[in-house]
Amino acid sequence: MRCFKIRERLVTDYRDGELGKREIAQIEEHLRGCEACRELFEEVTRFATLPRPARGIEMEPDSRVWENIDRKISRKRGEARGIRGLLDFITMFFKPHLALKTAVAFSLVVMIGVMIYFPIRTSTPIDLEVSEYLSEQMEMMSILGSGDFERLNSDDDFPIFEADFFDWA
Amino acid sequence: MREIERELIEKAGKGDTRAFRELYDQTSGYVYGLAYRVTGRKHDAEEVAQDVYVRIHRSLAVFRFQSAFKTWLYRVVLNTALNHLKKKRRIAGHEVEDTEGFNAVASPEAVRSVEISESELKLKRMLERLNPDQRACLVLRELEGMDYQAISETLGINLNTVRSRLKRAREALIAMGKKEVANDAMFQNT
Repeated sequence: MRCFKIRERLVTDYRDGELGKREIAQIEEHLRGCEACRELFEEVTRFATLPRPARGIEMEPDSRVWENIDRKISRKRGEARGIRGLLDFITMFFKPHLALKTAVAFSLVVMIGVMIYFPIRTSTPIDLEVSEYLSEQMEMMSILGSGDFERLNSDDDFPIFEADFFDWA
Repeated sequence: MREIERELIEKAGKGDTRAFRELYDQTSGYVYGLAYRVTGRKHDAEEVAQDVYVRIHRSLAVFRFQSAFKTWLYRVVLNTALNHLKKKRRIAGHEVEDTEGFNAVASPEAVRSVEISESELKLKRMLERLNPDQRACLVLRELEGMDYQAISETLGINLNTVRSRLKRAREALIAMGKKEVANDAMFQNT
């Protein structure tokens, strides 16, 4: 193995025990005969080895960390509850509860019953004559408003002046 | 950190607040410590720890136990810490300057909370010189004793990336160490 390859291994796999026995033997043989590579490995050990903290990696966080977490989680839970409430309200219309279904069915039955018992009254001949009279009166009023008196005197336009509408009264 | 009981995780996942608090008590020292090693700042480590637990709370219900909880936790902490630093850097628009970190090690508040010893100070100074990705790799390798495969799985990167990050990290530390030795020699001569 050449120096270039060895030097790469020295700062990574060899240093970290990631190599098999055969490769370790090759590197160690090289180190015995190469001062530059030996020097590099000494530097790795001297300068690139992290000191291990006395208490390991664990460190106790401040109590406010939990307080903030608790607050954030509660807020998120509240938001989720709000969204869920809205969704429930919407789905209620698509998947109604039994009580709502019963109420709607009961109302329909009552309405049908009422319609059968009190049928809608159709217009009588007298109703029709009254309605015709009222529309003619309205038309006359609009002509009076426009000032077109010639049209008012025309018998063709206003058969109402023939007073035959009094027949029904 | 020891493995967390499956029952506790399941309870917490079902919304049991007490179980979640218990989970926090058992893991927060580790989560905060790891976040601190990667971010290098107490305030950042606290923010990361908070985000981690909010994420955990959201995801616990769907945790499938396909990997160990500890491994999953490593991943969440490191990804959150790295993303936090990247976000901070984007906001600042440049590399984060040392406002609290290295210099603040000697501040009374930091000394109280972290109980910095000489080796702690040295460790902090060394990690400060590395970029966050290199720092995460080196912490997992040197302080957690993970092998390359485990680091690769935890960080979601391939083995060669693990190798190259460790290589660059150590080269940077060697360069820094040599420079310090040279500076010391110069100081003694003057």
